Amino acid sequence: MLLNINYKTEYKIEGILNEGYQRVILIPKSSNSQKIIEWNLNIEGGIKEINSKDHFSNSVNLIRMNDDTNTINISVIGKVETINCNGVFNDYKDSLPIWSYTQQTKLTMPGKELKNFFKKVPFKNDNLIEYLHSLSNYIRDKIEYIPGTTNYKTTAEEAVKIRKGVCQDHTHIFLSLVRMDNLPCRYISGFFLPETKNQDLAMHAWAEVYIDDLGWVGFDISNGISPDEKYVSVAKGFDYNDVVPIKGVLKGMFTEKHKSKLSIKSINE
Amino acid sequence: MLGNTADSIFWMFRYLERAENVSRLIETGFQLFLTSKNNIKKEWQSILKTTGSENYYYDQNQSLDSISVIKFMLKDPSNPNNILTILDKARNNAKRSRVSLTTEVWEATNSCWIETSQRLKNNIYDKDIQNILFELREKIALIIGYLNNTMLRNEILYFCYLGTFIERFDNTARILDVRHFLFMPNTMVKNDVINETQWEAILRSLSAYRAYMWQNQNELNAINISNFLILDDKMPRSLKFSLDQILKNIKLIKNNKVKNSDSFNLGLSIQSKLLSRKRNYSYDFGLHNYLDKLISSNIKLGNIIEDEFNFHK
Amino acid sequence: MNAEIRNFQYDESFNPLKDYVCKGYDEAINDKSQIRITYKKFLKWFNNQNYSELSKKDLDANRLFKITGITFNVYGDKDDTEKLIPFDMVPRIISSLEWEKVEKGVSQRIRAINSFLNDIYHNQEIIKAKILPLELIYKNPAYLFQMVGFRPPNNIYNHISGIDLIKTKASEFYVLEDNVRVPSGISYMMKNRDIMINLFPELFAELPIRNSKLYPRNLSKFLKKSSPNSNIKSPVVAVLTPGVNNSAYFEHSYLADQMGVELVEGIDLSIRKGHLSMRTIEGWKKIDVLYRRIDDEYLDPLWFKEDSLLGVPGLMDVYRKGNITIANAPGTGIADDKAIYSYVPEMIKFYLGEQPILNNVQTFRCSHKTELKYVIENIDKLVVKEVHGSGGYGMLIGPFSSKKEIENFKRKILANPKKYIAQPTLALSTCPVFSKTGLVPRHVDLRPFALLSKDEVYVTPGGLTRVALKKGSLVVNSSQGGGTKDTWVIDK
Repeated sequence: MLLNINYKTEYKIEGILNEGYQRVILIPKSSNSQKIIEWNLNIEGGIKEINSKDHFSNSVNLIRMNDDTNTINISVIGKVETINCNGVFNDYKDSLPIWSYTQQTKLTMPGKELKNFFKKVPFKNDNLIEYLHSLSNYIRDKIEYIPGTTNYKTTAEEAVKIRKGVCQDHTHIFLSLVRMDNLPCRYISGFFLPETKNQDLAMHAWAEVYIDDLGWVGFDISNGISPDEKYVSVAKGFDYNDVVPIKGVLKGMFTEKHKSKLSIKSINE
Repeated sequence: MLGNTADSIFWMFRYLERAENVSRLIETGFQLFLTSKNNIKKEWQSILKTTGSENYYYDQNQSLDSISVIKFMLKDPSNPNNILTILDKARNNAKRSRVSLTTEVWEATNSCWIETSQRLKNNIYDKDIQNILFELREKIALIIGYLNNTMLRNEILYFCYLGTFIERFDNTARILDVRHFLFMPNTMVKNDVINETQWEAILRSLSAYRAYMWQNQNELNAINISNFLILDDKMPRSLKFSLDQILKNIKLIKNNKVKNSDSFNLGLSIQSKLLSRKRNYSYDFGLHNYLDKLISSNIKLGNIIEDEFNFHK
Repeated sequence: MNAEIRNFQYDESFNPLKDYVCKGYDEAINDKSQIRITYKKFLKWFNNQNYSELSKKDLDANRLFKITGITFNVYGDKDDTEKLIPFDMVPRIISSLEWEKVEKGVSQRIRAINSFLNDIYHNQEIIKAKILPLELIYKNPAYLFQMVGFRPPNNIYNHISGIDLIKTKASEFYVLEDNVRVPSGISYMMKNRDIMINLFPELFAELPIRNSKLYPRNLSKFLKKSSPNSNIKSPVVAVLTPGVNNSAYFEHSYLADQMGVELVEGIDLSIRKGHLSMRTIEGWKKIDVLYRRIDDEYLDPLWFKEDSLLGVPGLMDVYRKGNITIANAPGTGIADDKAIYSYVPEMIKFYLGEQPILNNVQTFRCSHKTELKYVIENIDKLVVKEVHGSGGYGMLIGPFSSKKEIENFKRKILANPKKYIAQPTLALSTCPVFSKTGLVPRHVDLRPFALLSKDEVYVTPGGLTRVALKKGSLVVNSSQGGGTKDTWVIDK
């Protein structure tokens, strides 16, 4: 499937900004599930200081905001050919030892709520992949998808407590439970082409679990399916903190507003 | 040289200069308190006004009694310009720019701070006051001596001088302005109203009594005194001398490339304002207005120096 | 203020060794109370000194320290005045023969640690070979995933190390700790020497004492050598300090001053044209080598602690791009871990194929059930330390603690056993210290500083000797009332 992706974010600053940096992780890589045909990152109101790779092998851009700017626009436009690889992603070469993916992080660290939630999972793992699918569905059943109830700082523990959240929370809860079984798994951020035309598209999140002899197997908890050719993965990490598409450090006295717009179109349509 | 270091150095020497000036003001007041009780209240009022601490003083005190004022000026924490606080600030800036100072300058500064603050923190008796002030100025002189004799001739030193003379210009202008304002409230009144004691106080508070007398054959005369303190380029605390030093040091920092230097150009315009005053003007002719403009231009010059040399981000 | 300057009264009956009674190994006298050869000349000279003169010199020394500004702040101390670390004017003297062993041992150790760091952030052969258990890295906050797979310039991690040693008998040195995060104390070593030369020039003229003041020149040389790109002709070095209120600020400014480089803070820095740059009066200037004196987690708010104001956003991007050297490398702290410490002798064998020259102290890890049991049962004989602690905070010395303190500490250990390790209480050697009545023996340790580059190791001749000034005390940390002395390595 050929996908056209256009993602724009605008930050407006009101007040005095002494210095501002944005760390941008918005550049996908080609793999067995996707071929990047075209991809451009454009910055208005800032300078691309450095492009480097982080420890997950994600492509990271450091943007320094212009001294006299009060608006910065960060946009990506790209064309990606996606391939259905039956939910198994074997692109991945980073130097991290596989055991590092079994560690809980700040955002997935289980507390009382999550441990209880885990205890009540009503099935066992005879077949690992089936088990993980049931786990994914179980989370989707129990944690209602309601945007606006959680934010980017919400932990899996907090989301389970209120039984509400978005794809990010679903993914964190899933990672937390899988790690309680001591299995390596990771957080994926990327783009997803929905079935229905939706006005308010945003970046998506799902999980991958490493299974011996198979590789990284994907689980989109919020949609209850395995990622297929409607998915473009952008970045990987232990949790959301590692893959934040745009993370800023701004110094000064100001208020900040931002808005994002995403469009994904299949060219074959 | 780091902008931050230039900032610390510049302010270190502004504070040292300020400490010296404030100490001389206190000493002048104290001398008058000992020798002539006449007009002593006005004297203290003028000193408080010159250092910008008048309001702070009346928040705490009702009357202008000499010893209260002196203690207030020396170490009262409600006075942001007390000597103890000024020295603290000077030493903190020195510590920040420790790497740029020679060991001699740093150690002289540090021991000046250690010893003076130790003395000031103890109880102060009348008999100690002159001694404390004298020793303080001696210690500052030691710092300046080491500065002149141990520092490399480069931009670090030029910023030391820049801070010193920006502060000095401000101080001399303020002393003249405040005296003029307080002791000559009415421009119709002629200069003989200011008695010799007052003129002597002005000169002494600028450490200029002897120099003036030597140049003017022992004659205290208003026009001569104001010319001496404003326009004399041999008198190291005059406005003219201070401004010449400011311009010279900016030029040195900029390696003579001053055509587009905002600070240098502002300095030049202050210079032409300064020199617009003719030597034959009567003492009080437009003096307040003139000094007021010079003081605010000098403040602006300080700000422009901070911008031009990247003191802050 | 007076508390830190010990006042001496002139004492007619002064005899330097009159009250000198020591139980264990002493640096100055042997078990037959005879003066050791290393101390003979010094004590002979000392005996000929006028005591009141010496007392005056002792005061002079403390005054010099204060004027120099070589002061520190004690954490958690409400009194914010700057304090002096007490200085003792009797040197700790080491023979060149003994020193040779220390020098070789320290050099061996820091090379092994660097190899370990290269390994643990890449292939982890030492874990695969089942020498080091994975659990020591797993969930260890000092292990930075951000460094995994990244090669620091020239493969050097611990450019600067301070190895804490104690001596129990002749030529018998034990390593207590490897300080490889941001080791401090070097300025005290240098200032101690300055002051000794100032007070007793005649001793330096007469005795063949090795020069310990070459450290800044070597530090500068080693840092320049570690530049990220060998094409840079004269790399720009800067020292990064948390600021003027940091307890080690004096040391930061001292080292920058001695090396002739800028001392920078976060507010002076920015990323310009892909490089870390400092704000000068003429605009931005690139930095090639950053000697940082702030901890890993504060280096870059985009990569580590988000609210850090001390570091620079994007510094790690510059680093990973290969545009700067950070010394020591982020993540080096894993080798500083007190549980990892017990494997350093294994590392020496594994990476260097050599036998360890310096001894390790036997270490019990409370994370192990059987070892925990031993620690709890024998706590009154042991020293218990926090795995990540430093500066003598959060430790218990069994033999010197009250029953109540021990019970409290036991509870702390049992609540979080992983946080603690324990070691037998070793008899630190004693060394003469100047006192009212003459010389008295006090326990000392030794921290030599070492520099590492791709082709060279430098170990300071001597190092910092810390001394527990309280009678019988084994805690030498300045935060716990310890002092320092000059350390002499004497050639024959």
